[in-house]
Amino acid sequence: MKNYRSISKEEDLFDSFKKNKEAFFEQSIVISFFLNKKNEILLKKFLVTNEKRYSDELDLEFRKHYKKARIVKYISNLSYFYSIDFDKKQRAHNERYLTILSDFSKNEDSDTTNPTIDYFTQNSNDVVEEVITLKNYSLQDQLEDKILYQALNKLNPKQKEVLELIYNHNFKLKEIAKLKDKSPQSISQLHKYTLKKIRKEILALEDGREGEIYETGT
Amino acid sequence: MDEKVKSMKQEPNIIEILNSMDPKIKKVLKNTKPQERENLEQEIKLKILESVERNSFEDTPGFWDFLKKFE
Repeated sequence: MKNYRSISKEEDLFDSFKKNKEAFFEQSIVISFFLNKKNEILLKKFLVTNEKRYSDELDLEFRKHYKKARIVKYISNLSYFYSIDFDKKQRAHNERYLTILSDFSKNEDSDTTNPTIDYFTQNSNDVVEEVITLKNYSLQDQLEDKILYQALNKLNPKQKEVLELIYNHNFKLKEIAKLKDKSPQSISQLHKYTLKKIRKEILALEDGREGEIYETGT
Repeated sequence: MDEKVKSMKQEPNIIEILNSMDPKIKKVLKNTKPQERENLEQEIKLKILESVERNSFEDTPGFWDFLKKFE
């Protein structure tokens, strides 16, 4: 039965040990190690008795803990990266081997005997359908503002396409990313950069035009 | 016999770890289509078991070694 004095001595030793090794006790692996009270008890016992068996066991327990943390981290990364990889392969595979629906029902009204009725069954999202039913007018065609029109001319095809999809066809960033097989972040970045570029162009054009406006009075 | 018991004590139970990692695995399943998720789950678990078998994850620092690094 521990008496009061020995308990407080234990606590004191433990506290001063902790104060001495602040950096060590800030490590998350150490914090998680001592979440298990058994390990705390081990350390305290060692500090009080200085017996090798306690320091050895402490050593062993820490190794086990560290090893487990390593494995968990490894599994965590593995799961994530494998899932991304897996999905990429699935998509590539599905794109290559499209499922073709065949309609073998005898339709007396039809003139042809062609059984294939639908080519697009991969993904089956609206993405593909929307691409097929593109509106006839491009973004530029719908503009009234001459300056904006001119600014858009300065963009490269990729930039134009992003604007086209976002503003003319109301695609969401994620949909565009899927369509172009890129990450949403890169699409977002492209979008932001394109807008910046347009802004710059507009300012440049407006500067050039100012003289014109004052002359003609429009 | 004693040695074997001792070494068994050192090995973290991989089945235990696999079960505790289940939430994480379920989370990454969302990275693929719903139809493929069961397949993915099986493949991930297989990969995990294979790699834990292969790698030793040994060479972990002991308590006092690690402590030294922060003095």
